[in-house]
Amino acid sequence: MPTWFTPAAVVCGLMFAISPVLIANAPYESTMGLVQKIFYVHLPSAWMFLLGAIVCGIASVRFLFRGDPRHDRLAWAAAELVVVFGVITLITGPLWARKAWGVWWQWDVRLTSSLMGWMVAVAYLLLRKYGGPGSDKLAAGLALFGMANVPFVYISVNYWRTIHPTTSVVPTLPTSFGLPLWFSAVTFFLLFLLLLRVRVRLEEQRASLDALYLSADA
Amino acid sequence: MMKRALVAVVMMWSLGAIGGGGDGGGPDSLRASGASASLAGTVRGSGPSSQHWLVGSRSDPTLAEAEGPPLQRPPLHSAVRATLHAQQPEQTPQPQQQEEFVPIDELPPQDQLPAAPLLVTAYAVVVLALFAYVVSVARRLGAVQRDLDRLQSDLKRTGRT
Repeated sequence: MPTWFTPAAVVCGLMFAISPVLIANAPYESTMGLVQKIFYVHLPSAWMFLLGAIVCGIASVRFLFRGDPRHDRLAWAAAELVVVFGVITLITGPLWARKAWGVWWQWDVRLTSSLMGWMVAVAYLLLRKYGGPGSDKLAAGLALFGMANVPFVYISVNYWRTIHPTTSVVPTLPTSFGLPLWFSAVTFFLLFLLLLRVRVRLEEQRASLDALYLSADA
Repeated sequence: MMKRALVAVVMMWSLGAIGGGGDGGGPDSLRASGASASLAGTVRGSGPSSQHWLVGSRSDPTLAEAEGPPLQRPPLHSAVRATLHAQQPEQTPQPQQQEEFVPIDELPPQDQLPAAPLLVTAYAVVVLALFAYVVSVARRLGAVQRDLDRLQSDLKRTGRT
């Protein structure tokens, strides 16, 4: 593991311990009240979900054009994080919506495209696990669709009629709401980096194991 | 002859039953109709001038009191009234004006939706999902590391590097 890993893990743990205090001290939103505090985990996890899809897509493009297995390992690790943070986003969102909108789910463009992005990542992982030889290239092609979906997810709320809040909410947040949000976002970003590094390490170890088996057979 | 008399008796009975407005326990389905009652309530709520005899029903106790003693209506009149009643389009009741604050715990269970369980569930999902993923990666990493160590020791033992 790199030298920055342990200090970053300690900082991330401390930030995870502090963020509930900041979130608890944040004011209640006027119309949604207590349930709006889901926002402080829903939005950062959604950002990590989209970031993971971008990382997976870029690494896949580089793998397709250069054939470097390191990029393939990075793409695989990022795809797993897309699924993890996607699960968090797609569960916390409906829990918030049930109170704020009165429904668990709405088939509007933001929610539907997010679900599609998550399903692309699940398909990527299934392809890697059960696809057999050559599935790495096929999965890399699939990851491109996942990455292409990201800007669509992001701007969808500004161009289509939807009940989901638009992207203008975050830049206009007062400090009392913004501070816990950005603190939580940095915490999630740090966690994303740590998990990505650990997951890449797992693939590196697997590659070393495969190399050892090959040398033992030779 | 008998047959003709029987038909006449049946017709008289049915007309009399309809004309009785349900007092006699005849086939007055409108009396039990919830639509009729709600319709009466709707029109009654919209102002005294809009009270129409068509929507008045003696099944409504308030309206029955306002009307006073029941009138003797001819059977044909009641039959027309019943027909018009049936043809009246169903209207949605107007929401009642709020006259008092009601504590949320006095609402029916389907109208109560506290936020705290949703919030706690959301945070629990975050913690559990991340914890489960960290445990999963740690176990996989441990398994691969054990395989690596075992294979390296085997290779050393056999003299290969």
